[in-house]
Amino acid sequence: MKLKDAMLLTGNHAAAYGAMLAQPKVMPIYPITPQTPVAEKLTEFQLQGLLDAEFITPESEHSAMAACISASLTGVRVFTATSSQGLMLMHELLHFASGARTPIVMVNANRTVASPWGFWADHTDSLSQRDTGWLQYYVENPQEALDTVLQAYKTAENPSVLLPAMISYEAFYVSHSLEVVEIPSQEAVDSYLPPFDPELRFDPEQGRSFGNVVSQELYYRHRKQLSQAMDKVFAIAKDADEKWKELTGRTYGLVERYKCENAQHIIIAMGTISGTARAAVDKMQSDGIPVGLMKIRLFRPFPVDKLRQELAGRDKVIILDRGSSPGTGGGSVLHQEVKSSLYGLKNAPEVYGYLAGVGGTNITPEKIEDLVKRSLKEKSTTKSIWGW
Amino acid sequence: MKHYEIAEEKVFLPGHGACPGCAMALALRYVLNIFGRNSVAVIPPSCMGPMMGAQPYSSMLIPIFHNSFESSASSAAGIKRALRARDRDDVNVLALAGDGGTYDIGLQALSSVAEHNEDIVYICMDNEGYMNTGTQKSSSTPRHAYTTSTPGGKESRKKNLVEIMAAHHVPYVATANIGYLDDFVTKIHKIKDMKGTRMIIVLIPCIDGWGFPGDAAATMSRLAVQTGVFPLYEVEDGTKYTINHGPEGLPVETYISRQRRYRHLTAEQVSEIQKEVDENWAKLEGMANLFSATM
Amino acid sequence: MSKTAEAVPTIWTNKRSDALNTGTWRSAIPVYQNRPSPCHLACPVHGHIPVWIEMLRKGLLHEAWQKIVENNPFPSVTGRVCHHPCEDACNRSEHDANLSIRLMERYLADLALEKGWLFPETASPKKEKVAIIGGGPAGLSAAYQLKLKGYTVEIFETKPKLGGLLRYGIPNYRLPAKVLDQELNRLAKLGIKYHTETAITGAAEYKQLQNKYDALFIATGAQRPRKLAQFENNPETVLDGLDLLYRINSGQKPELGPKVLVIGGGNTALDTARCAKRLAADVTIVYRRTENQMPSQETEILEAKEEGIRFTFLASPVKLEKENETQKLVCQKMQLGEKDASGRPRPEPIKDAFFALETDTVIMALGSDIETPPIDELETQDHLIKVDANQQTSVKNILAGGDLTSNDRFVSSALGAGKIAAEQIDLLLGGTGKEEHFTGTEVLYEQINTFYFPKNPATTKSLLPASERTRNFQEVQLGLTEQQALYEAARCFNCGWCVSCDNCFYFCPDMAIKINNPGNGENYTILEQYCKGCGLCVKECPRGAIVLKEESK
Repeated sequence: MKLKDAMLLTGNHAAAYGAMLAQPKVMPIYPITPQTPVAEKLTEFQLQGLLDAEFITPESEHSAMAACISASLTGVRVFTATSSQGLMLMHELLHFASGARTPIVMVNANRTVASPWGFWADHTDSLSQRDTGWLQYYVENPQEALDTVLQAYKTAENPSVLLPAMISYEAFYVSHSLEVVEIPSQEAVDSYLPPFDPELRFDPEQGRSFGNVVSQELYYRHRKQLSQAMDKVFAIAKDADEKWKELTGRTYGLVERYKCENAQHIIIAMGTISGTARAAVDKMQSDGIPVGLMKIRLFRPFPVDKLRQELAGRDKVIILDRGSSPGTGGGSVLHQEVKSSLYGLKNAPEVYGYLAGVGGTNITPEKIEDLVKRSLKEKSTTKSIWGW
Repeated sequence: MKHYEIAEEKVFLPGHGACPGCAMALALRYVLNIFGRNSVAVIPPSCMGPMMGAQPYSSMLIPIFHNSFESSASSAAGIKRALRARDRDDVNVLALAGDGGTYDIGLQALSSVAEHNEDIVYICMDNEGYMNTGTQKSSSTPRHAYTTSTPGGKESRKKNLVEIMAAHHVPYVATANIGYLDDFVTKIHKIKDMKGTRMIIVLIPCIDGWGFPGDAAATMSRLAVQTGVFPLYEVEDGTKYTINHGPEGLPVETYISRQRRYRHLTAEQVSEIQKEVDENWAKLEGMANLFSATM
Repeated sequence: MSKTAEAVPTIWTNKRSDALNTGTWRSAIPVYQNRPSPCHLACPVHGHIPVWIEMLRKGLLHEAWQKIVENNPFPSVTGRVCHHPCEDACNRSEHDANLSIRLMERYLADLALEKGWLFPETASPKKEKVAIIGGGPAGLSAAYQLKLKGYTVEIFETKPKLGGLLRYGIPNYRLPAKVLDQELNRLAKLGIKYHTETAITGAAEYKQLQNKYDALFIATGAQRPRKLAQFENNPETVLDGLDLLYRINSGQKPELGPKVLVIGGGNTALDTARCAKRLAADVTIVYRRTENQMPSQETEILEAKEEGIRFTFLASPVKLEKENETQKLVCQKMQLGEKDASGRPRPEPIKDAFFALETDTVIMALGSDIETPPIDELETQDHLIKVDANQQTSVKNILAGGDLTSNDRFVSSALGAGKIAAEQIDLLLGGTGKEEHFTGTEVLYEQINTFYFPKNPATTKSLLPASERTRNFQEVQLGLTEQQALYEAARCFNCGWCVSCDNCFYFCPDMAIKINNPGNGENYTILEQYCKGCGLCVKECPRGAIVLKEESK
């Protein structure tokens, strides 16, 4: 399919293009650094006539998410964007959105959480929302941001899923970095993403209501259905990625493997650290160290089966985590997630968890090489290590 | 008494879960039946939740979204915008919330929606406290009233939400209650034909929370007006005042002496309340004289 | 997990709450009850006052009149002369001012005469016959009710015309003869047989009637004037009040001296005084108590004063004296003492305190007594024929009423007694007797929801100006205009009477009241599936026509 254009875009603007091409009907967005350019670009599209949406500029992210949920339940596609404090202000409603089975798509520019104040790349904001029932994608560059917004809609709106999806990219490293981005045509996107027209919605002709108090049994059943829907995401998201490849030639997989074929050791990372790790892998392989990289692109649902399959028989797994959760065995969320995924696996590798890049600190290829070499020398520990 | 009509097709159904004699159920009957089937509403946690009925039953034939406590206004705005995007701008969108969800936790979202003049109707069922959870104080609870969170009586005044809304210059904000059904129904019809953010604050005397006999919700509604505690008035575009029903010279004593929540009051506290009511009325009359809707 | 939960497909609602039953919450249920109003209970004929006032308000004038004449065949008469205990009982008096029920009745009744409305058709004829002795209000009322029920009714009247005291005891300025004639003419159309100038006095005559008729109703009135012995021998100067009224109403113009004294304080005293005034006399009423104790109606006294009649209170006539050519009535001064059996302070003579009033004519209006019919075993009590609450005498199938059985001497009481007697006779002769139209307790003012009744003053009653009243017998009290009648009707609380205002329906928070189609019995149905028994409908019924009945489960 013919591509419309290739442009030099920041991650924020690329995400805005992705949103624009999805043609959402309602967009409640509250500004926050470093996400604000997403909202600004979208209003610009509206002025240019590229978009026909209802913009709402509420007084808070909380209200933005509230409007997203109710609009989505009324049967329209919605989009919003946020970051850090805004995401956490939404926390209550993130649960509400998944419970309401609304396929909202939101981009989140990962930013340190206060206090103290900071504006730096850090996954803690979104990682701390891992139990809210949202699909979570972590992307590493503007092109992936654009592509993933559209893949997320295709996945989330699938009638077997109907769950909200969050696409996270790091503050400034992605949000404000310019890269060449290929932008698919509206026709191409339209052929990929069918209109959102859910069977049940707030419609006077239907007269049906949602969300009142339920019995314990009904609640249990509802949560079970939600969980089952989440479990169906792997196959549907994978299909969405493959269809995207057919359309654009680009594919990412849900877990991206980089030079893993003969690697005894695997680095696991999310977001921009993956890019740095690729350079480190190239260098180490040329130095004869058999190490590869797996980038976790879909963090929720977590690719447990995929990791067990890929990591069985490997020697060591080195996890680089840009988010922290105090009290979880040293503080790395990703470390805990991977370890628990591998529990009981025969031929399981030794797992090393490093807190790397927390607070937006710079992780260089050399630093990664250091951490890998350190792992090769040392016994693994149950606790993750502050490794910067 | 037959100035008003109820739509042939009843939107609010019997079998709902309101307490016997509840003024809110009655108020809801008029709101829903007058706005009719071509409507969607949001209801945050409030007495209207149990009133609707337990899943999968509903006492309301229009779609209701049971939104989060603090987001009624923004949730309603979201629905309105989505309907507009679906070319269904003709559908009325209502927020039906209690005073806790409005004066307190929902005020921020409401302020934003009012400032944007979103095209929604907001009905605040004001029973002056968190009655659904067993009578805790809200910022709408009047001074000296007992609640479980103000066991010695509330020390601060009731918030004046009408003035807050008027300060947003919304097209319409009014007070009403079921003691004056003609007036209430007229107001509902009036806002149905308007656009933008419209609000009616309906005083809902709460049988259990305030403590009075189960058949007296209308009586108590009227006493609130006749003593000047809760005058019925409208403010249009933030500046045009119309007083519909004001005090009739009855002392507040006749109102508060009939409520258990004021049982502990000293004579001094009663006169404090009287003074406050007199002040409020003087101020309102002054505003109405300065900014009369008929001028 | 239960099967029920599995059966629910989604978290979206799909069922209506009206399938549920909230009636189980209830411990009491509202019941519509047409309760008796104070006016109804006070009315001697038990008129359905709130009912016909509602009809009047709705403009159903003919229907309203028909409702009145169910209990009273002479509303144009009572609309003028009734002592209206209904108005004294009216709950509205606690709100602003009582209703002018009598004048509303007069408005409808006069309209009926103007339009020529007739009484309803009588029921199919029954074989039983009833004789009525006395063609006054009690007898005529009984005759009317019995005739409507289908009985053969015959009236025996001593005088040449029917009407009794209505015709011969009430002056024309209070009750124009034309009005009475019209109402009597309408009654005559029912086919009651009249035997005028037929006195039934002897024991044999009564015996004959007892044999010939299935029941007797005796209402011969109190026609024997009370007299003071010391004035017996002076027929030129001393006249009897009732006799004077009879003569005036029969078209005579009795000669009275220029200075007239009327002795007494009752209605007859007032009537004769005012008649005398119209015959160009200077009139003073001499009464042994004070104005407060006068048995006559207040308005009568007021109107008499307006007409220039003077009053001398606390005076008792002793004798007539002639000094030169001037005749004087010597009176003894009185003072008020302890209360007597009537509840009024007893007048007591003040020793040696005498005074004299110049007079040409003295009219005695001291009241009258009954003649006891010569019937075996007919018991009397306190100079009246003894009857029970149903006007039944001590003799089987003989009933009595009017002044014969009561001292209160009111036209409406006589009409009521006649009606009650007719109901009792019907029962005795195998009919259904009295019908109950109201149930429950009297509606109290506290049970009226006054929110629905803004305060409105009573209609000002119109009188012929005093200057136009003397020298003629033109009617003094004027009727209401249509506008005034409707205004008064609109003021009525309709205590206890459902007027289909739908307020109960509008105030039900549970939509548990259904409005029935008109004419299908009750106006409303309580939907027991939903009614939670809150009582809001009871409280918001403006007129106390709903009560809450406890239910045991």
